Amino acid sequence: MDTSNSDRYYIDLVLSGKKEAFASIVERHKDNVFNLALKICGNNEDAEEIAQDSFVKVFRSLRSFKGNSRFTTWLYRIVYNTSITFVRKNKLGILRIDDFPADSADFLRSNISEDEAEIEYRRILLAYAIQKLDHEDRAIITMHYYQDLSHTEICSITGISRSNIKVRLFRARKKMKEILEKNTVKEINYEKV
Amino acid sequence: MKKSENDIIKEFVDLTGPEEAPSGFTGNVMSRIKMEKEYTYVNPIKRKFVLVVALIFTGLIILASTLPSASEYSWMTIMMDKISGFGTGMHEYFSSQKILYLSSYVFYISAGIIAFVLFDRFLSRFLIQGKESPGRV
Repeated sequence: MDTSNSDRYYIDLVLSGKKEAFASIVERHKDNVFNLALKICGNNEDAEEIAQDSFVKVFRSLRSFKGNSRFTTWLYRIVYNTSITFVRKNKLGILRIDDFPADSADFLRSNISEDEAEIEYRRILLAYAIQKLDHEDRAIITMHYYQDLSHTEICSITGISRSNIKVRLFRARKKMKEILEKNTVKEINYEKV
Repeated sequence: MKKSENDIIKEFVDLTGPEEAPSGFTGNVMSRIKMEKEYTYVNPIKRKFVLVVALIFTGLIILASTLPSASEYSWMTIMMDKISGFGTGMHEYFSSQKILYLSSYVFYISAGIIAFVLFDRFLSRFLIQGKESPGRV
């Protein structure tokens, strides 16, 4: 059973009155939903709140989902709208610090290997680079690289035109590359990881 | 070979992976869902609106049934005369009968709005197979 078919199966169960089937929908999509909310808002607590609110909204409006688009497109549109509304309402800004405030040496601990420390360092550096973008660009980058969504799907989720998405991706990539290259000193040995 | 921007970001994303939802996330969502009412045709914004209209209506009814004629109070008569600036009997318009008369209009209008909201939700739920509008809940 592919993902979209099984989504439909659980949606029908929920609509027929079996509320508990909604747990399967949450379980299948929670990581992607949380990840998108986190990348847009920038902190775990708010991301959890946004992700929960989004699922509650999905539950409330599940009846209006007719299957004309993929369930994930519909779901991400709700997460995107909820996240953008949240950051605007709470005036969550863009990171203003110019230099990345950490060093790969900070991540070297006695109980983890050098490569694992480097991965941890890069994870935080990537999060930092994303936080330097504006909220819409963060969402576009996340959907493109983490969710592997096409430009058409991103366009349908965000309501931003295809050409604008291409331009925004190009600019965001350039900005991120600068930060990532500037702060990466060590090459990772992938065979060891 | 020089890496492109795309390659660099892809490499970072592949290496670090996505963030995972915190533990107990599904349980928290489900406990919120269990508190949701079975019917969902009046959404929270409209529910609040209906409540406000009902409160205003109740307030007016209480006001109309307890307030005596404004003309019984000399200070109100003087005040009304001064405000109107005409020295006429403007205060007579503020009798309890007039308020009751006006509140009957408020009643009809709010009943009409409530009926419209319910009818609108009924249509959107059972009859209209229109375009989906996610995120507008």
